[in-house]
Amino acid sequence: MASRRFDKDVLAGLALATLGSFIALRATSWDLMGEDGPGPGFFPLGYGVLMLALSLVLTLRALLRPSIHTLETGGSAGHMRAILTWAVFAASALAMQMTGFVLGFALLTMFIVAYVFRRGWRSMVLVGFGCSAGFWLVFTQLLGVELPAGPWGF
Amino acid sequence: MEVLNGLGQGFSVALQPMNLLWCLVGCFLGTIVGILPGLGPAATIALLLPLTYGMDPTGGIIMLCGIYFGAKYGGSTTSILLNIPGEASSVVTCLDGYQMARNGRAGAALGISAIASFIAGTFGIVALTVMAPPIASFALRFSSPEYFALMVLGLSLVVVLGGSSLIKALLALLVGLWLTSIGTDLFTSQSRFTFGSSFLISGIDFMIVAIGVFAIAGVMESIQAGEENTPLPVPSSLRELLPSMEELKACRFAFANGSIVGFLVGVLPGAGSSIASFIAYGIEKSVSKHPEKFGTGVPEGVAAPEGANNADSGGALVPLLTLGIPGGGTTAILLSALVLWGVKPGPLMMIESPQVFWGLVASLYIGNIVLLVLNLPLVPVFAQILRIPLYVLFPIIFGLSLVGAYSVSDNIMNLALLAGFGLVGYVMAKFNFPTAPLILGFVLGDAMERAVRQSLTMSQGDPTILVERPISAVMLGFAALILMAPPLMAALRRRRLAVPH
Repeated sequence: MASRRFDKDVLAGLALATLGSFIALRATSWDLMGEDGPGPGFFPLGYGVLMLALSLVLTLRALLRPSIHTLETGGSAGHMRAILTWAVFAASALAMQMTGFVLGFALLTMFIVAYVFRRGWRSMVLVGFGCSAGFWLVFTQLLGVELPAGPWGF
Repeated sequence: MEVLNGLGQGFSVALQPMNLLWCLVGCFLGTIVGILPGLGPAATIALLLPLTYGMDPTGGIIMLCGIYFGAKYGGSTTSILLNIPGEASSVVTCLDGYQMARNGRAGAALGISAIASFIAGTFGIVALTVMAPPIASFALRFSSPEYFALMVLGLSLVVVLGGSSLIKALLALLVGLWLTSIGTDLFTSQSRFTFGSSFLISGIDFMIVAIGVFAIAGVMESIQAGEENTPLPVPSSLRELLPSMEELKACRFAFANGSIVGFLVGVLPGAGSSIASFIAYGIEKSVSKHPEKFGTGVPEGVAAPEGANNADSGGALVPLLTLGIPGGGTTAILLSALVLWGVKPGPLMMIESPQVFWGLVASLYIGNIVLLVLNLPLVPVFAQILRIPLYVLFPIIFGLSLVGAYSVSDNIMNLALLAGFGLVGYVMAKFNFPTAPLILGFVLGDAMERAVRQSLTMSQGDPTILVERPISAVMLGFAALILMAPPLMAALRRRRLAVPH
């Protein structure tokens, strides 16, 4: 029974049941049905309850089925690589408010080249600043698209 | 006659020099981006949509449709040369296309793919031209209850056909409905699920969800898989691209098969081009005189799925343009683009925006010819893109995603949401949840809520209005049947298996 805790469907079912409960509870705090017809809580209450019911079915089915398929363990290095890349992507995206697009994107690119693809520092710097400069030229200079600007104006 | 008049009007719009240019640019960009591994038509359109923001609706939509068709054409290149499907519908093309390439027939495989795409694509557009007006005039009888029922029917087809698990597809759809509720209620201006954030009051933009779930999650999956692919030699001349007469003869039935199957499956919401290509391949194999050779590099194994993949595009535009119901992720993005330009797809589109409607249909004919002309001689040139190493390609995709999301409203919070939806898409893929129902739920959520609330307002809260009207009753009945069929059949199968014991 211990391995069921890590069953994908159990985890997903429990997470979605929580979300469904939250949606349904929140919806009941708004008008459900008024004189002019259904209120803002009507539709969310409907799909919130449905989400709760279906996620419980998903969880129960996963708990009751004989064969257990657990989270992949073989590809854990790959998962780590993907999640770490995502974390750096998210951090550099948020940091662009301070660093600007050009520097933030260059740092993100350098991380991908160095960490994901294990390239040397020369490729890292070349691709990082090359891509960044290319984007700045095409979008900011040629197309006039607004991009996050750092203290130095780009 | 009405169709011919409309088409004549459409060609006069589509052949205007600027529109012709947008069609060319769209086909060119779509083919280039479609060639990139991991970027299917949905991600391609989502990434390139910001380029059309400043254009007039007709030009913008013509360019987007060019991108749509171009991405489908380009997607087969990576399947054949690298054994990497650019999108789900190109998976089948890998089976025989890559084998043909390994057998030294990469050029012929690319040529057959282009010819099949042209023939089937043209068939799909002709069928769209003929079928769209009668469907639109029938849909003029629709009111809120019928629209609600139609959306329920469309979404039920999406969840049944869109993934391996009905419950997971339904749950993904419900998450999409929730995401679209975030923001201000259209009827009462009540803030919903904004968590006190002023940024969320205006809701979440569709582009951010689409780019995150498709493009960012796609790159994350590729990074997780960590596959290294060694490309085969890229054909360098026109002669190398041309299939032999024997190969073309062998593909005669496959061209027709792919055209018909692709269009019919494309009309069904949720079925999608991957199902069309699988069915066409299956039919081709079952009627073949040498089914055992399928998978070893037979030209019919390329022509049938590639034809179906492209005829599907014309079919998918039938429900989108005549009923305003997108059948999949890609057409959902097209719908949001049309709405962005103030064009409302549906039965009145032909009356209210005839220039846009017929201009779009005419541009599809032109685009299809442009693509054949581009694809046959220029595939060797396009294929050079495959030489871009992944360590350059992935940052470019990330960069395009960041630019696309930020340009929605020039707000850094868009980038935070983009990262969030990228993670959501990745987790969904790892937990085997289909993403198309989430996107469709997000796109249709507002319209669905409006339809059900208007219906209940019309009936003063009486829900029987939804089943009293014949058209809506029939559609809801079908939806119930569609949703009930898989669990009922599974239960019957279990009972049958249990009998011997």
